[in-house]
Amino acid sequence: MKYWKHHSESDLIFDPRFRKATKMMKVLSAGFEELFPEEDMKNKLIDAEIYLGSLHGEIEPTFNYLKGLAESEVGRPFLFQNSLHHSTTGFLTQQYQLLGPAYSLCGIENAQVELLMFSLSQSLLNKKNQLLIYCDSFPIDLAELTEFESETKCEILYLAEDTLQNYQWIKQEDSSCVEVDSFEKFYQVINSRQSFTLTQNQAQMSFVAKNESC
Amino acid sequence: MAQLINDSHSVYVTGSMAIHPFGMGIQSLWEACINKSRAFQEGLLYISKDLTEKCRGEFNLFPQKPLVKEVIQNDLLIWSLYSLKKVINESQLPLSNRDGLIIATTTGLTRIWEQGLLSHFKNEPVTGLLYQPLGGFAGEINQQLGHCGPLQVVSSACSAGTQAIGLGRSWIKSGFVERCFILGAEQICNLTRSGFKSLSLVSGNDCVPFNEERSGICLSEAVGALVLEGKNRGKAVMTVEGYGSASDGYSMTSPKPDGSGPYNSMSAALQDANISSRQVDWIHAHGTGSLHNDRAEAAAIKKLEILSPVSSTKGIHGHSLAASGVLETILCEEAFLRQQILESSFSEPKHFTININDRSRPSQLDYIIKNTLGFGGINASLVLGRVSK
Repeated sequence: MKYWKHHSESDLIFDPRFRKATKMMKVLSAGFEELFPEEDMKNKLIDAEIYLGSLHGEIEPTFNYLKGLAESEVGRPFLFQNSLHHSTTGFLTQQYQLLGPAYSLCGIENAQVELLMFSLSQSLLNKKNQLLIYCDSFPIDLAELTEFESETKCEILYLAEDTLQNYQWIKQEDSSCVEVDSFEKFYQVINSRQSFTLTQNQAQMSFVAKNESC
Repeated sequence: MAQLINDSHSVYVTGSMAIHPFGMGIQSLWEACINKSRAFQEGLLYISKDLTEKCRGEFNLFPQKPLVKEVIQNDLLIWSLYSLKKVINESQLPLSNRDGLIIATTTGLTRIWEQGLLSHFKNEPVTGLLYQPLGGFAGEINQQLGHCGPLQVVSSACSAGTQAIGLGRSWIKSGFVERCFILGAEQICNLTRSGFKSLSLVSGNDCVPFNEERSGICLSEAVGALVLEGKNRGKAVMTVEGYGSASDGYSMTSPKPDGSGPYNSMSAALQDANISSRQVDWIHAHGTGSLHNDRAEAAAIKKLEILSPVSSTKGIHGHSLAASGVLETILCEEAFLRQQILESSFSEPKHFTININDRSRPSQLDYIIKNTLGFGGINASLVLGRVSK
């Protein structure tokens, strides 16, 4: 298991290869290269399942596309292709030749918990290496018009297929387990082998560490 | 971890509902395909206002105070709530927290957002919202349905609907949920209408998939809802036997010309269903009518050595993006029921040497492949099976 959290943008080195990429694509790529510098790790990811979740998606190119449309009634194709939520995920798969299933998910309340619940629920049937990505970047122009903060966030969590080998999923709800509400908390909980619960909507998903109870 | 998994049982499609430019329910769309009805105007096809009013009249679609008041007027939400309420009612079991809901959409409530933003940019009084988060559409549906189980929104471009069905199947098979509702929903908005035109992808005329005289895609609106269950409660005619998805890592807007993406997704779906490519009776292709899509999909079908007939029906109903995978899966359900395949409309003169189907006709159908290819190089395939009597 590996975990990376976005730090200050000034600390990230943006490769000139990414000059046409959106801000989210750049930060994600910088994080990916920091987390997986070794070639063999990239090989492990070639058919990994990718889950990318975001509350706002590629809102900056969308905003700029619509602005251009309002001003000149002509849309810029490059902005349109980058406006798609899946463009971030697609960019990553293209850049690093990741050829497994890739899912772009829309966050509803807590995108990180929703991503974890979704990826772990899928791994119940087929255990595969999974790459979980949460990213958001809200443009300043739009932030000034709404209540949202202009901030770039990106967190990457790599779950090898055996990450939960010492855990058992329990069907019944158990609120006494440690509640996981972020990637960071999940990372800590797994490293300390604690039983945990994820809650979304009113549904819960609990994993109990083997030989332990909540 | 996977103590409750029972891999042996199938996942049944126990309910479905579709709203599309030809009406409500799949029969009207099936008839449009049989009659080769064409209704595109400048490459676009909309759901009528009359149909929207009909949806609004049948159910109380907004029993709860909406999270955002503007959504009451949003057509996509009206079609979606109608379709989901219809399949929930017909299912005759109340919603519980053991019911999952997976929504596939690329634009959600973008139309409300862009209305507000466009009026702001033009210095006009703002009507609508200046911004609506991606999950706002799902949040509103959840609120109005009173759904309290697992919820996800898949937005992986045009493969989202097919992925949602595959992921819902996995939820059922693992025992994570007992029942899963799938919604594919798409409405034409300024962003998609002008965006696809800016990429020169929209046909000025009609959509003619697999035809060497093709001129591009036609965009359309649609909503499709499905119910997946691990048990057949009597009426199911179709199962979801296999699912596969793969990225091709090639381009943001075009599939890799060698078709390796759809080849990998179809291969994975066949392997998951534990059948060979020779057992496939019909391929309901993505077949958008763009050169890049048709070429890659045809290459993948050829490489898999599938000789069975291939049809795209987008020449009739157009491309409803994320909703297309769900809508066209419902067409496949109707094909199983009727034991009939649809023709690939307006495909002459043909461009490829795969077995593009010339006419709608009766056919023994046990397995169908449903494909989708999306921007960002994402591909998804389903193997659908007939429920034996």
